[in-house]
Amino acid sequence: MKVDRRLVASTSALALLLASQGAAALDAIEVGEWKIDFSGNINGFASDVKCEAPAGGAIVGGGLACGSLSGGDYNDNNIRTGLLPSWLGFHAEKTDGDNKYGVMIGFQPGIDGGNQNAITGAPLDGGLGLNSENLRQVYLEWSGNWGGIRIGRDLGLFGSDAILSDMTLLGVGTVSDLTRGGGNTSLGRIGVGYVYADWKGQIQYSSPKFGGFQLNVALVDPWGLVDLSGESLNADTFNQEGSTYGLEGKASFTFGDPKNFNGKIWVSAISQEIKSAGGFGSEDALGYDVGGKVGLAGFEVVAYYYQGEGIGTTGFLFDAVDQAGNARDSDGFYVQATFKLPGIGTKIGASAGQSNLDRGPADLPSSSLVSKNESVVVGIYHPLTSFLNLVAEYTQTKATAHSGAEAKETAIAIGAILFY
Amino acid sequence: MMMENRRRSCRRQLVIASGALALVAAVACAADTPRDVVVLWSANDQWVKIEPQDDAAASPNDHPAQLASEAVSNALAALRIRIVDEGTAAETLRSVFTAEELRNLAPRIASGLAKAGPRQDVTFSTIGSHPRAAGGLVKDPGVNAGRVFYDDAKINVIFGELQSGYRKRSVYGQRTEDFTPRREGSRTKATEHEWILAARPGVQLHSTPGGVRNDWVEIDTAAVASGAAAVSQAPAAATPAGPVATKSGADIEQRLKTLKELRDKNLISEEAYRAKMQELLSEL
Repeated sequence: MKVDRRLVASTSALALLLASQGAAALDAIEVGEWKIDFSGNINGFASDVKCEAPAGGAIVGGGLACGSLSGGDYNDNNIRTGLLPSWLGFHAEKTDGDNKYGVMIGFQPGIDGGNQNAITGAPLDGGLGLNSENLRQVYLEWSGNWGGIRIGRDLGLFGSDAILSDMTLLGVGTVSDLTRGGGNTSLGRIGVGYVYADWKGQIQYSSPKFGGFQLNVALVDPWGLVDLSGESLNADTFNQEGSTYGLEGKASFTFGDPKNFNGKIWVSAISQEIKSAGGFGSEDALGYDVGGKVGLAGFEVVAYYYQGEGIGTTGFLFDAVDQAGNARDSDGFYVQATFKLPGIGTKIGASAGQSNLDRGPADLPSSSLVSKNESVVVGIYHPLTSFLNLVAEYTQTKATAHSGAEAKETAIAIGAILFY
Repeated sequence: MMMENRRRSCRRQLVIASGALALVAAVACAADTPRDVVVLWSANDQWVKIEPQDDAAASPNDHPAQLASEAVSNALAALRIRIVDEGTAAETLRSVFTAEELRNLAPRIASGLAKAGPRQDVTFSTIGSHPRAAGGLVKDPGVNAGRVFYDDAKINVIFGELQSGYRKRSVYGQRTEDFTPRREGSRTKATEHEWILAARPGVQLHSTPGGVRNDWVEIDTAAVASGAAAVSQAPAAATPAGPVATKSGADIEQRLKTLKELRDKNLISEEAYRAKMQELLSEL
C-alpha cells in the first residue's frame, strides 16, 4: 500500500535545536566578508560495563544490552568517548542584504579504537591501532526572511528533538556490544526510547519562526535496511537502489522565558519507500513522534513517544522487516526529569525509557528477535566552569527477546566534557 | 489486511497528533505574540521594533517624531566608545556602529520614531564587525542593542548591549541564531558594559541623581548633524526646537550622500567608505 506522502509533508517540521545542556558557546571572527567560527567539544569517560547474557546461550537479536551480537557475559573497562562525539565544527557565513549564506563542516574524532563488532569505532583496539574519525556534517545553507534552505549532510528531523533533549548527551548512557570496544560514541538513549535521528544527506527547508512556531521539511537520501538481529532482511534484498527519496518533517513550538517557565512541544514524521532487489516487492516505512519538555525554577521534565511501521528500532530501518519482507511495527518512549541545584549549578537527573519491536507475520513467537530494549539512567552533571562539566552516570539496560530471553547491562561512567 | 489496518491506525494517530500540535501552537501563538510590538525589520539575527516604554513611570516621549533618515544616521554615527591601550594608556575612539549597521538602522529607526506613540520606544539589535588584527582584515563581530526615543529635541539611546561579544550556541552540531538574552536597555537600571561611551560635541551621557549613566546617551541632532534639519514634530506632539542647518553641515551632508552613492555603486571599498565617512564626520 502506498504511503500518502502529502500526509507526511503536511505534518512536517523542525525546531530550534537548542537544549539548555550541551551547548557550546562560540565567538566568531570576521575575515574579509566571511564570519568564521569554530565550535565543538572534547569528552572522555572511564566506563565500567558489566554484562549478564541470557542463560543457556540464548541471544537477544538486536538487543542493546550485552550479548546481542557476541554472546556471553563480560566485564569491560574503557577510556572512551560518550554519546556526544568529540567535535570540531567549522562554520563560515556571509550576509548580503537580508540574505545569509553559510557552510558547515564537522569532524568527529573518537578517543578509543573499537573491536571488530563495533559499528562506530575503528577496527583495531590494540598496539598500532588508531582511534577513529567520523565526518558527519557537511552542508551549505542560505536563508532570509522567507526561511532557509540547507543542502548537505546533517542531523535528520525525525527524532532529532528526542536526542537533543536527552540528558545522556553529556554522558554515556547505554554502551552495548555495539560500542563496547570504544569508538566514536556510545548509545546514550538511542534505541532505548527513540530511533536515532542520524546524519543524512538532505535538502531541508525551514520556515521563518512565527511566534515560536516553526516548520521544517526535508527530502532525504533513501537508505537501505540493516539486519542487526540476524532475524531480518538486509540491504542485500531491500536496498536503496531504485528507491525514492525519503521525506521527513517536523513542527515545533517553543514558548516562555529561558530563565523562567519555558518549554517546547514538537511532532515529527518520517517516510521512505524501500524497494526490493530480491523479489520481495516494496515496503513503506512510516513513523511519527510527539514530544515535549517544560522547565521551571531549575526543574525540567521531558516526555517523548514514537510509533512506526517499517522504521525498525534503534536506527532507521534497523530490523525493519521480517525475513519474508513484511514491515514490523515499533514504538517507544522515554521520560526524564532533571533538577539544577541553585547556587552550585549541579544538574541531577533520572530517565527511563524503552523501545519495542513487534514480530512481523513471518516471525515465530519463539524468535530471538528483540522485543524490548529498556533502560534507566541516573546522572550527575556538574559545571566546573561554564564550559567544563564533570559527569557521573549509572545506566542499567535490559534487552528482552520475543522468546523471553533477557540480557542485562550495567554501565558506570565517570568523566568530563569540555565545550569550546 | 492486518498490516493495512496498522498503517491506517498509524496515519490516523499521526493526523491526530499533528492536529493537536497545530491547535496548541495556534492558541499559544496567539497568546504568545505581544500585540503591542511592531516589527519594522528583521534579518540575520538583527531587528528594529516598536515596543512600549520599559518604565510606566517614565515621561512620555515626543513621539511621533519626523526625523530624516540622514539625521538619525548622523546622530548614530557620532557615537564613540573609548578604547584604552593597557600598555601605553593611550586612548582612542571607535565608532559604535559600522557603516553597514547605520545603513540598516537609520531608515528603520527614523520610520519607527515617526510611527511610535508617546508611550513607545524603538528598539533595535544589530551585529557589526570591528577591526581586530591584520590591518582590519580580521574583525570581531559585536552586538549592539538598545532602545531609542526622541525627547526634548534629542535622540536618546539606551544601550543594553554595547559591542558585546557575538555568541552563538551549538548543540550536537545544531546551531542556533539566537543570542539570548539580548538586553534592550532600561531607563530604570543601568547596564554594565565592557566599553565606555564617549561624550563628544553634541553627544552627552545622561545624568541622573545617582550619577552619569554610561549606557545612555542623548544626541543633539542639531549639534551633531545640523544638515539634518528635517526635524518637525507631528501635529499631535509638542513642537521641539528643531535643528538649524548650517552651510558646513549641508555641505558635509551632500558629500556624505555622494560618498554613499559611490559605495552603493561599489565604486569604492567598504574600508575606504568608512574611513572617508569618519573623516567627514570629524569635520562637524
